[in-house]
Amino acid sequence: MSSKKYRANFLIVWGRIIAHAGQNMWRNASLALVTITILVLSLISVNALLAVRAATTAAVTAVNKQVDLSLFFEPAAPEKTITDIVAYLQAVPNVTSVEYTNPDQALAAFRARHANNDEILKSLDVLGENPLGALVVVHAGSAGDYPAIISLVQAQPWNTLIQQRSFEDKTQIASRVELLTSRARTGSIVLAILFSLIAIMIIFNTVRVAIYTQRDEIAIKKLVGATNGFIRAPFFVEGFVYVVIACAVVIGLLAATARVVDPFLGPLFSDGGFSLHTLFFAAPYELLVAETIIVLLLTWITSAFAMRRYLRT
Amino acid sequence: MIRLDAVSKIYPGDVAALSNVHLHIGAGEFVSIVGQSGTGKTTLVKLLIAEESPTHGKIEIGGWDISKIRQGDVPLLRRQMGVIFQDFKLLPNKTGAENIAFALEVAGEKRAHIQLAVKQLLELVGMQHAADRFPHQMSGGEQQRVAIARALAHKPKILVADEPTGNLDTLSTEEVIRILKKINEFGTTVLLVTHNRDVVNGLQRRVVTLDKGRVLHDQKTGKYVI
Repeated sequence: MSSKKYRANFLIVWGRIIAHAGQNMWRNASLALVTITILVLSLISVNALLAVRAATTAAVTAVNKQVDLSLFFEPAAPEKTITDIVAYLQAVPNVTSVEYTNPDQALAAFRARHANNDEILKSLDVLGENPLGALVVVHAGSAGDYPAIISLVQAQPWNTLIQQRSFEDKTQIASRVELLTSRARTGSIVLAILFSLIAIMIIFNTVRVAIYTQRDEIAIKKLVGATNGFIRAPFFVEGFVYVVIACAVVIGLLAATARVVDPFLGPLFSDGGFSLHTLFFAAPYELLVAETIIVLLLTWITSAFAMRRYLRT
Repeated sequence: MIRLDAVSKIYPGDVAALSNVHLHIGAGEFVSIVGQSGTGKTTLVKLLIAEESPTHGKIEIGGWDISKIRQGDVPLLRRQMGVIFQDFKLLPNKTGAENIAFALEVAGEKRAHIQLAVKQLLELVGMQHAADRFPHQMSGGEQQRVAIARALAHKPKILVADEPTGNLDTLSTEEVIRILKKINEFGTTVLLVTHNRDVVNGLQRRVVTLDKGRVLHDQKTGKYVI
């Protein structure tokens, strides 16, 4: 067969396959609507869970950022010693940053903080000298890192220069945050797997039922000489259309939800760590593209699997 | 045209639907296959359209040995023979014309040819008025006539009719048999599987009687004798 004739035949066959798919969808509109609705509901449930998981992670990260280790030094502690301590702490593994505030900066900040309190300001003036020591604030990668850092600090000879010790409180907070982080992570993974399995089972059964209702037609098509490929292809085209429509509906719903919900999420995540719009619509849209591809493949594989038994004879 | 040599079909549990059947049907013949329920008539049809394969023996259709036909060749076989059934087997979501057109579309026929062929086939069975009707909008007799038109779409040399009048009233039965006779007059070999005594006796053609999976009688111009 010449390539021109082959191309013409290819176009005729695919034109008919697409026409049959379109006709079948139109004439089985209720079945198509049910299938699309179930796909939409499954995708919404999975996306809702993804949003909850992302929000939990962002919340835990935000809480983690609030935990730090503040070391208040004696006013008499030499500045050179403290800058050496800062350099030492910066080199400790899992320490992400160390902030150093010298006594003069600490006093200025104290005065600014109590600018409206004349009694405190007068008391400072009466003292005549700076009563505040240097402040060193240590930030770690996660709350779970603080106990080790605290132990390290306690073991150092310059530990005696630290005026205020709140190590125990920090350890408790750190361990609680770590527990919360760990449980939130495990819980969201378990729920994500569970919801994904439920969604897969629902899609699998929906496609199977859709094909089951047309099992007699598949048999008739075989009897009049249709090849398996010619019978299968319209189902794949229909599956493609269902998935595209369902994903388009879900994207629309997500966009609308993000528009309504994001203004309320803003104050909760003041550092801008989480928004639905960023989660779902940040280029290159990998989440939505991945979902579409997974659901499409799932629909096609299920279709092929469900049709196999009806195509045997 | 159709040759069965020592054909047996044994289902699991040692149930023999057909046992050592020898049958030769020549081109242009009109043969009625008769017998009581469970004598192997439907099994014979299933073997002829390659819905099942024989356990033993050889089946030739137009010189083509289909006993061990490859799955990929089954559609080609089915495009060379027409088949009609008791339950019509029309596609419920397609109109009369679309049902006929579908049989031609699967073979890759051109659109212009399909349009012309559908029109002629509907005229042949007297169903021009039902071109745009769906099967549920037709009577049983009308559905069977559309099914016959579809079976003739590929201009087959053989038409297999499996109890085509089983669901029809007397008038529709007469109409369907009249059409089958007309098709046979055009040179198509017709194999009519039935247990309708009046139809068989009225035809005055060759009758093959099956009993317990074996050929009991083979009469050139026979009657329904069971």
